[in-house]
Amino acid sequence: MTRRSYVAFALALAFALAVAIGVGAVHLIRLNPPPAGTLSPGDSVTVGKVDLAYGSWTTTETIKGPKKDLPARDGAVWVIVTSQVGLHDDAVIREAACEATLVSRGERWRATREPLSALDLKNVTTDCNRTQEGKAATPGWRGEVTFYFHVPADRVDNAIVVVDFYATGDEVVIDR
Amino acid sequence: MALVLCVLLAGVLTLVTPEPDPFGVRYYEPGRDGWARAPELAVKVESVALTQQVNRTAGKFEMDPITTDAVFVVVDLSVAVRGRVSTLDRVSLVSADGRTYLQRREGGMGQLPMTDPGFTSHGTAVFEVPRDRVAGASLVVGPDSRGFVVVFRGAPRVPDVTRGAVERDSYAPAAPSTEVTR
Repeated sequence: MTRRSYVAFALALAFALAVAIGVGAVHLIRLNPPPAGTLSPGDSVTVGKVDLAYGSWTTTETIKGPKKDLPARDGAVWVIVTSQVGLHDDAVIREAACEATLVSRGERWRATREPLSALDLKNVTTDCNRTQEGKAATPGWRGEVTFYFHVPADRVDNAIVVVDFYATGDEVVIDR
Repeated sequence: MALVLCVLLAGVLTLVTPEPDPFGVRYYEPGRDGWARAPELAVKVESVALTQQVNRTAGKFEMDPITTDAVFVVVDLSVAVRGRVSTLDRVSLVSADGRTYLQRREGGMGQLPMTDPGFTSHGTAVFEVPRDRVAGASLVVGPDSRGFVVVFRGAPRVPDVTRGAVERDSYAPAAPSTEVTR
């Protein structure tokens, strides 16, 4: 090959590398969008047409129901995060759709509902679609929502809760 | 010319870098302590039995047993979950000649429950296999999937899992259990 060919080859390689790095960077940004807000107790944030207010963060070994209790497994605890969700008057219902995940040391726990239903609790909800009274989210709606997580006790320190809003793709970090 | 060379280089790199699996799954085999540790799951085989009858229970009630003219490979195993919740519903036995047998789905056989990270579940997987494909079979847990989407690309694999398996008249799996990972 001539010297010109080598230069052309190097340029093509550099171009290909730049494209690969660029695509990778875009991919990473897409995977890790910045949170729409980070909430401490008492804070609130508006995501699209949804208001999210952070109430409290408590840890307990037993959730008490009207007829029976639900103890955490040996070595585990329940993390209970209360919040308030409000849907603007001009919003549509799907904008309230969200899901909460507790994140600690890179591990992720989804808010759980199934074991709680055995307690016959009337005011259990683990997503943003309903109030704790069981009413569906509607425009102008505002209601209490509580997230329950069953996690090993040694994962509670430094844990955060991430609330993902499906309609907008935004996420809000709840920081204890 | 340069672009053609780039394409050729990419082709050569693709050819000389073997894929560990057609779907790009990487397998992790047991260490000295018996645990096969993948990034999201760790698996340890506790015992393996061969039988032609598996007795089933639902709580205190006995259910009809399942029987076979072939053989049931019954694997008691522990699975420690890391990272994120795992359904643990994709447990398979791969014979030495590469045939895959999924675990039997009937209830009451101690199947592993859905497990959160930081927890270890103990349960049983039952495979119905022709007798001549038992020797040299491997146990594979995962990769976990959501429909057609493979979520985890690493899967624990225990090779030659049936070596030393005990032949029994019948087998009654214990109820599955979950505890915090110690």
